[in-house]
Amino acid sequence: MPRHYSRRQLLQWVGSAGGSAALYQVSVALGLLPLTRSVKAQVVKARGERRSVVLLGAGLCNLAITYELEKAGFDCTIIEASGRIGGRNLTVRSGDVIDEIGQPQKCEFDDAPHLYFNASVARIPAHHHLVLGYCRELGVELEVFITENRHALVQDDNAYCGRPLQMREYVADARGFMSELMSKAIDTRVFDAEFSGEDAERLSAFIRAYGDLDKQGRYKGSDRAGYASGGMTTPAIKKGTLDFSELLKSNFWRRGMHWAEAQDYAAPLMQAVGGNDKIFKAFLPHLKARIVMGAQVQTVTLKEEAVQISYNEDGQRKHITADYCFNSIPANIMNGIPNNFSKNYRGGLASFGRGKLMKIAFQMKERFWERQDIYGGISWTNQPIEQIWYPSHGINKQKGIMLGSYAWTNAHSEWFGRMTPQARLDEAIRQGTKVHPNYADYIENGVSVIWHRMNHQLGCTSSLSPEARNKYLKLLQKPEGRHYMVGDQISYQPGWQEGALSAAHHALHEFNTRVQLAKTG
Amino acid sequence: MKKVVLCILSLTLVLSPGIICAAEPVTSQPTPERFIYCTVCHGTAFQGNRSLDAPNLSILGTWYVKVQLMNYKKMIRGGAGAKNHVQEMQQMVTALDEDAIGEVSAFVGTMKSTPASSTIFGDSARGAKLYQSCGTCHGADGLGNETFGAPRLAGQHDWYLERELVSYRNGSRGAAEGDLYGAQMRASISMLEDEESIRDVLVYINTFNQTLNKN
Repeated sequence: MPRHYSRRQLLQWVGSAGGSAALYQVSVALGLLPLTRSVKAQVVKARGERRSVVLLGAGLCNLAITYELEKAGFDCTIIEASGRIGGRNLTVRSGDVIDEIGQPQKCEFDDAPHLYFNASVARIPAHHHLVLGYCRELGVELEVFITENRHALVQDDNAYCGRPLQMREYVADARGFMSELMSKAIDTRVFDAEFSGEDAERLSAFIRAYGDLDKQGRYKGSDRAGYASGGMTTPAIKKGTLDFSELLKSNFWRRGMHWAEAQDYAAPLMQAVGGNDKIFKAFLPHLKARIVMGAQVQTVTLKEEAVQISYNEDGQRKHITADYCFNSIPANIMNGIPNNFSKNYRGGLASFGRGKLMKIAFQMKERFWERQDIYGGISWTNQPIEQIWYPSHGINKQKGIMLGSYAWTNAHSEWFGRMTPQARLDEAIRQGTKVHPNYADYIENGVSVIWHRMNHQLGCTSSLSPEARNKYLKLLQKPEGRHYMVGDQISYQPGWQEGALSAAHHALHEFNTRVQLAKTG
Repeated sequence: MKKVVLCILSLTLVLSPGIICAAEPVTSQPTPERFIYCTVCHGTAFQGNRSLDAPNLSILGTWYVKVQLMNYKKMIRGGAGAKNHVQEMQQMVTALDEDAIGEVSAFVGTMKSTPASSTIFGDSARGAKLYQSCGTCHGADGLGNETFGAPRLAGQHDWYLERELVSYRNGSRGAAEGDLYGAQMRASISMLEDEESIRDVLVYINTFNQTLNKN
């Protein structure tokens, strides 16, 4: 076995084992591709008879696949079960209907360009090259989404008697106290074994800088926490320090404090100007495909050289047979649609879980938070509402749409989900009042989007456990007959547009290989 | 019969070298627009969907579906304390009035039975003995009996029946005031004394002819 591989050998091997996405990443790592790239999916031009494609679901993934396939000359038809295009890329505005099964709601926001909220797709990190590439290609204007705001609040019923604190005060003091402990540890020479001489001096300086300690290594408060008063025409007065033991009682350090450090949440993030639905809508003028709306797929049948779909349209049972099928139906719903997939493939589809996330949004008659120095960002609480979001758009306008809750914990989302829409709002107000007293006085109306109750979706996301992913994802990334399973669910990034587009490009790579083989074979 | 199956299998093998397909799905009649949301969870042929905790309705008779929908409506099933998916079902029924419940039950009653595949292993012979007392109400062939308020079992998902039997045992089903048939079932569950007995009886139920017409 050779110990050294040529770049070409390595890339061939990576390409055959991991597909185009892996090939791309390794190419970047080897310095063979520029880090930023225009995102082009290579699709072989359609020739001859085999050019019909049916796509199940009109979400971002299938719109992108249609866009690429049509450029190559394929004939596409999209079948969509719900009454709207875009799937879980949903921006809610005045008059919109939230299609929750059993209890649909109508959004009563005022009709104004900045009065909207993004019900799922909310933020785009800089490394999501496919999303950003399509935004560039299709002319979607972007703006900064404020992911972390040190002026936003931290509230925990178990600390400081439930009193909300400014995040910057919490973070500055947490770092100060931790650094002081480290500094004392250095004084007692516990680090001598590992650090000596210049290293120890540098470490000591690092710790003082990290926590904003004084020269003696003591934390006496910091202007990082924000001034108590003054600082312009009168001297600045520093805030006193918080009680460290109370600080540790707050749950904020478990998650929220490090939120903006995470791979997909580090600043700056972006959003589309005017609502993130502009992203999927940018594809539409370029598509020729017929999109059949309100058409629930009834059966998926793999034929020898085709895929047959039966669906409902206007109370009639209809059929369509195509040479290829791209299917983005959430796997847990697909599990309830009769099909003739192989047992193993069905096993993969049956192992998807149902993501339970929810958002509650309020129209506020005044952007009161901006008068409290909060412009965009997130406040954190240990209550079931979990997070309060302030809009990054419409700053300084009179009104704004504020998220009264963004809950990620299954139990919290289920609990809110079981309530009537009005009871959800009442409960969110009750909890939100602990973060912002008099909160209720500003609320004009509100809506809730409970993703695991949304018609034809029943989850945000449909995703695999790590064990099931190891077992099934590779299988589901391969075509089953002429049928390709797609969507963010067929990726390591479920719930992200980048996951959906990566799955789209992966499936197109598979598709391309097959079409090329058919031409040469 | 075996020969026919073999013929079909070998034909499939010849025709599709890449993949071996299961039998092609049979399309059923279109579901009326206003009841499509039922199929989002219960499956487009009302065959049930484990991913969403939804049982097979296609095998059930109109009368049973109606009784249970009314139980949900009256909060006999799905009240506070019930599991989340049961409360979700309760929520779905609040929007239906009695006429709508009648209509949807009648529609489900016309659905062609789609049998479930078995997922549970156990001792079928022991299950057959245990089933004798169950059969008094549910019928020797598991087709159910409206007179006793006993639903059809043949063709129902074994994972669902297992879950419900456990619920009867621990009182999360059948204990609510007004649940007459549930109370009967709760009284009968003591005959299946442990998890193994439940599994054995379910394995036996899986041997019933699932394709018989429903009553």
